[in-house]
Amino acid sequence: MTKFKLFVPALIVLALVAVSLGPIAPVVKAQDDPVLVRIYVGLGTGYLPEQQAAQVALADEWNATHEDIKIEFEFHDNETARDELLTRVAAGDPPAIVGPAGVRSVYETSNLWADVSDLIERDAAELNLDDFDAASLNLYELGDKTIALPFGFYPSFVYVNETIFQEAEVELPPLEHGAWTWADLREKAMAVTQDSSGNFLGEEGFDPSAIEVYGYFPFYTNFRASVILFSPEDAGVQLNDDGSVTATFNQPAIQEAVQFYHDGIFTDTFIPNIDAENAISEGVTNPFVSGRVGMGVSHTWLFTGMLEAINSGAFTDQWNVYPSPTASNGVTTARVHADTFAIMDAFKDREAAWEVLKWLASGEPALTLATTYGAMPARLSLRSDWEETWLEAFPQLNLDVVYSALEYLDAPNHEGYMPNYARAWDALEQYWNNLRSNADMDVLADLDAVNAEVQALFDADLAGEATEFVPTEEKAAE
Amino acid sequence: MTTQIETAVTPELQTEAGRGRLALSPRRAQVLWGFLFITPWILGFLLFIFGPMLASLYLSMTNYNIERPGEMEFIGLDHYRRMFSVDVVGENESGAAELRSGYQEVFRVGPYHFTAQDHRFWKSIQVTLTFAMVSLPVNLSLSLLFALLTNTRVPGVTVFRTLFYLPSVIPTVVAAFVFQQFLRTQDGWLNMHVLNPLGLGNPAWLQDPGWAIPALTLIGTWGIGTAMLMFLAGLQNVPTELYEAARVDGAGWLSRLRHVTLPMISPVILYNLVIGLIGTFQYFVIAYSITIPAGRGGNDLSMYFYNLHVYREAYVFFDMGYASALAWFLLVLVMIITALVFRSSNRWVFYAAGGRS
Amino acid sequence: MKRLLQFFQNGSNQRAYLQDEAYKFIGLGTLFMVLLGLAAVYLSPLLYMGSTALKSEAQLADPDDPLLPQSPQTYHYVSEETQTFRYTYRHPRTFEYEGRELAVYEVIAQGRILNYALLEDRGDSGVFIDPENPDAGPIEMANVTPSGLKAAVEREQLEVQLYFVDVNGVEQQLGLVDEFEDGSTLWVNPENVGAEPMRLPISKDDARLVRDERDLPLYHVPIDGETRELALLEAGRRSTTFIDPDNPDELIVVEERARGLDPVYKLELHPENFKTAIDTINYPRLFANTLIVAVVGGFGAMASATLVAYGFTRFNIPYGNLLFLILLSTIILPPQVTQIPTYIIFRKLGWIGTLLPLIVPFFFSNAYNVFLLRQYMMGIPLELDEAARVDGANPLRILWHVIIPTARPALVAVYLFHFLWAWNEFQQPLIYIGGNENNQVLAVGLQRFSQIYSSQQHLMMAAGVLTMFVPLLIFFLAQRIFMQGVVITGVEK
Repeated sequence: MTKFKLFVPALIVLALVAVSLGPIAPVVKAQDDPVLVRIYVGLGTGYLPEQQAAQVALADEWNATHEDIKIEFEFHDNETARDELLTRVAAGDPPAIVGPAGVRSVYETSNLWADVSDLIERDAAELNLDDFDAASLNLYELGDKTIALPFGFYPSFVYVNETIFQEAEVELPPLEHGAWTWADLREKAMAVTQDSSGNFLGEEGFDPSAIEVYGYFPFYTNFRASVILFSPEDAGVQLNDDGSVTATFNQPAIQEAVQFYHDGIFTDTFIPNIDAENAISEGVTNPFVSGRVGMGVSHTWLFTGMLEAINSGAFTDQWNVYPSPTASNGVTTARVHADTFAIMDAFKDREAAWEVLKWLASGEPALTLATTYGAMPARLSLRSDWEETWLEAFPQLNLDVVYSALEYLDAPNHEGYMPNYARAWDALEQYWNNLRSNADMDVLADLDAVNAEVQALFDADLAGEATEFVPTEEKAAE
Repeated sequence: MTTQIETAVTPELQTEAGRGRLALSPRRAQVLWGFLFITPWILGFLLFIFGPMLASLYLSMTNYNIERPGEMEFIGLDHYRRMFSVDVVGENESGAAELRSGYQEVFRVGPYHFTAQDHRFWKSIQVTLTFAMVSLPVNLSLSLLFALLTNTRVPGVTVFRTLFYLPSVIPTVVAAFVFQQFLRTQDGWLNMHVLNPLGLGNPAWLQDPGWAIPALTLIGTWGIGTAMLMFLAGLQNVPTELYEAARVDGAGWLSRLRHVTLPMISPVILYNLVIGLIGTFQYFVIAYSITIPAGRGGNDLSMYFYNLHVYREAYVFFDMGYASALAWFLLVLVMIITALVFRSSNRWVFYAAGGRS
Repeated sequence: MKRLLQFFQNGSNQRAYLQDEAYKFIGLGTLFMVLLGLAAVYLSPLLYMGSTALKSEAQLADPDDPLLPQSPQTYHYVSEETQTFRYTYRHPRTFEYEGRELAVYEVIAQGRILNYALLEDRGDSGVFIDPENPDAGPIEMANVTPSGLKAAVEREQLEVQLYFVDVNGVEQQLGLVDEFEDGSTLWVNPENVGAEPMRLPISKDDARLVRDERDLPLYHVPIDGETRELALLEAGRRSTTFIDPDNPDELIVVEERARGLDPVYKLELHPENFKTAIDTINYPRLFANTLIVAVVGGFGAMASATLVAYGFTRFNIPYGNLLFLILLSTIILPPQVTQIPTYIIFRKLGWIGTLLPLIVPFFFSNAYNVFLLRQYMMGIPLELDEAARVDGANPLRILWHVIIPTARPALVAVYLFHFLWAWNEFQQPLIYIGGNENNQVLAVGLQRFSQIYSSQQHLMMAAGVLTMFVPLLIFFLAQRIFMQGVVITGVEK
């Protein structure tokens, strides 16, 4: 009993002490503050701890010289950034600028962004529009709106672990775009695939359930990003003259692509399934530096992780970048990602946000951000500085491959416009995940089914029913 | 504090007294005291629950979409109609289901295909109920077993209690993370070091839709610590005289368990059952984070729980109005099920005080 | 005789007693083993957690990663081979046009980089030649200031030999790019390849070659029925080359592939993982915040639930059953039902980003706790209240002197459960604390950590252990009060 009687007052005291110590007083804001332009980082890259300092320093630089507008970067984990952002918008407390955000984020939340086309026109001279890479300017046009300035690109190529090729005595891929095909890649990938007892794929005793080296690793996998490499027309979304949109995700190029991945995982076993991907990623900054991956298509953003692994001594293999293979329709596609900063429509002071946006897209800050994010700057005048940074890090880098990839970018982009974007994307992802984990799947029949499902989502959106449901019965009655 | 409340009550009592001594019913004073004690809850309820609930009930009858707050319109019960737009269709000659436009298959029985406009809604109910029916009995019996085993005089019993309780204090996110690695098909510890050496094969716990519910049930057993403690407290509350009496009557261990222990701890069983049931309907963090990629409900939607559906409608597709309707339906559904459990509890729950509020 | 009889009787009694004890002992022993087995199986994922928390990153990356924290062993090898590195030599590009050597510049026009040779600089405009198509003749470009243009570069990849070079009395590792006829040489610093290569008036014979030094992984290699620990030099398709650390000059070539061999492991714990994890997630800050939320909120939850449960169990409130049902139904309330409106209320109050939304609501009682206490209080015999009432005690006195002491274990349980719940709660802090890292709590901090470090299992698990450490300790300490309270509660008497 006595023990308990002591327990209660002790709790109260503890509670009071905690309250008085705690930083729980509400933040009080003065009324005549300068405009605060908050930049919401997390929908794309940029939120990682090692990336934060450079951005905070940029904000300090701006704030030291500006009295009327103050900027502040906020960092949100990529996984939850979108939910937090939407809760904030719902509660009427939107940040001013969101970025770096990819093409997909832009389309998926297309109604959240403010139109800046009039501002771009007004300040064209100051912006020096000529200096932006021509391929990047139309990426952020939503109908008649332009919502952002291009900021950076991430072109892609095949990363090759040359040490693994050497071990398997397989010849390295050619260095020119158009000089090798996906069939060649498959052949090489199978030739370097090796199990944990040292047997190569195709040799007697090879154990497909204990593969140690996979010939090909599907980095950054989602449906559209994976099938675009096989150069489908219109990236699967065909925009018709009458304003309707046709889903062509079951066209031959995509059929070939899904068959390639499914066979690669379950029949030819040179591509890991989801489970094995997870195992390969363990203990490494990215799967490529695990030493268990022969090849994989990825973007310039992998440079940052590679550098870290090499500097820490975790990755000692020889590697380099090689061009994307050519699809069987004769077209070569080097998938590209692009990042930007956009102003939120719900933010009240568009002009203030635009001032900040212009500054971020100008020389010095743009280069700092591009280096921080691993992007190739959209401003052409910054390219050679960027090049120098990476040559210093990777003296052996096949820079010609990096630059010539720019001639083969995917246009329309694999993250480009679709009606009913989020739901259509989601339906395709459901298919893609089944494809990578279900050995018995009827790949082509399911592809037809998902194409029909996506077509229905397109039609519903264009009929103005994207979010508001109109019951079938009632429509019939009207 | 005591005096304050007494003076507050006194005038009321005096008025009662003024009307005549018979009217000074202790009942009225009782009522007053009662309300006084439950005031904290009434305030909190109005402020943090009832008000927001009304607001979201209204939202559920609008097409509110975060992306387009300006276009909000009142649409009545359309959302609820969408949920319940179902259709059972047969097959044509070639054996394919004749789906109505906009409808998708949920499941099939023989040649009959159950289709629905929001097939994910029905799928998520199916997954959630299946999980409840598998996981709840497992968790209840396992926690009772642990409680019985640690309610003995075995040496080091406190240590065992702590060990069995231990997983419950691990943050759910971490548990999801541990099991994601632990249950890996090829090199997870369970398959690599236990099942494979025993010749029990390599189940693809988190990949194969058939293994999804067993896998989640297995993970769920890590959360039974609290239930075990409740049982333990209940067991220690059972008067030893009852056991003595039963022993004198010649009852064996099993018979004592059935006729003494279980009735005596039935309130705890009820509590754990209700809490477990509710937990299943709000099951989210594990279902969200254990799948690769996260938040999609696993292969063939085998881990697509109801709460995940609500979450996705709200935060992936921004359809706050529809999400509110889904949340409200869930509320009604769980209320009905809980009411049923309570109704049945009259038959099997035994209170020592003899009274039921 | 009688004594003898007694002795035998005693003896048999004693035997029976001993037998009883033995059975009891065997029973408890079996039970102990059963419990031990159960605990081992039940907690095996925790063993994974603990073991992984102490592993090195290198071990995790190994596909044959052993159960316990062990590290692959290496051998530091200095070879006869010299060291080279690949270097991209960039020199200004030139173009020969009509016998003149023109410098090539990067001219940016209409979103493209054009590599044009400058024919004539006119200050604020220029005349250029396109080296790809010189026949097209000179191109005049206005709005181009030639003096501000960047020179276009020619890239040449070289395999450069590394030397120790004496530069102004300091020995440096430099790569030899070129040798000139006058005996001087061109060098690049591998630490700073962006800089122009430097020309030094020395011959390469004055410099010392840099030897190749590497850490080679050690393997168990079976040779002639005997297993030796050898360092892997080069893996090949047909054979593998090893070095014996005891005799580094001799190469051992084995007709065996490296991937099939077992690496040499040595038990090696990495407790520094915990320090890394603590530093990375700002553990002290998160810890303090979480403690405040759990301690203060726990007190609020316990105090308010006691009052409310007492009100519901001991007073005939009109529509009490209905009210209680409403209370109960709040347990089953999906969080999404109230999430957005509640968020707006807290925002209006200016509480977003503070700990208040995680504490204050619990001072208004919570359905779980009220339910638990009500279940418990209903088990307290009404006679105890009656006895006190007869003594003239008012309801508050009864609460303080009868109910609270009797319900003590349940109260502690409520406090305990709230503490643990608050410690692990994820969704609420995620929404209400938002981006204010100063007020962040452990669960969310940990989740952020897990997203970013998902491949660093060792750090992930170390952080997990750190997070569960406190609730575990508290449970361990509070368990006594909890269990003791249950045993000596008034109910039993």
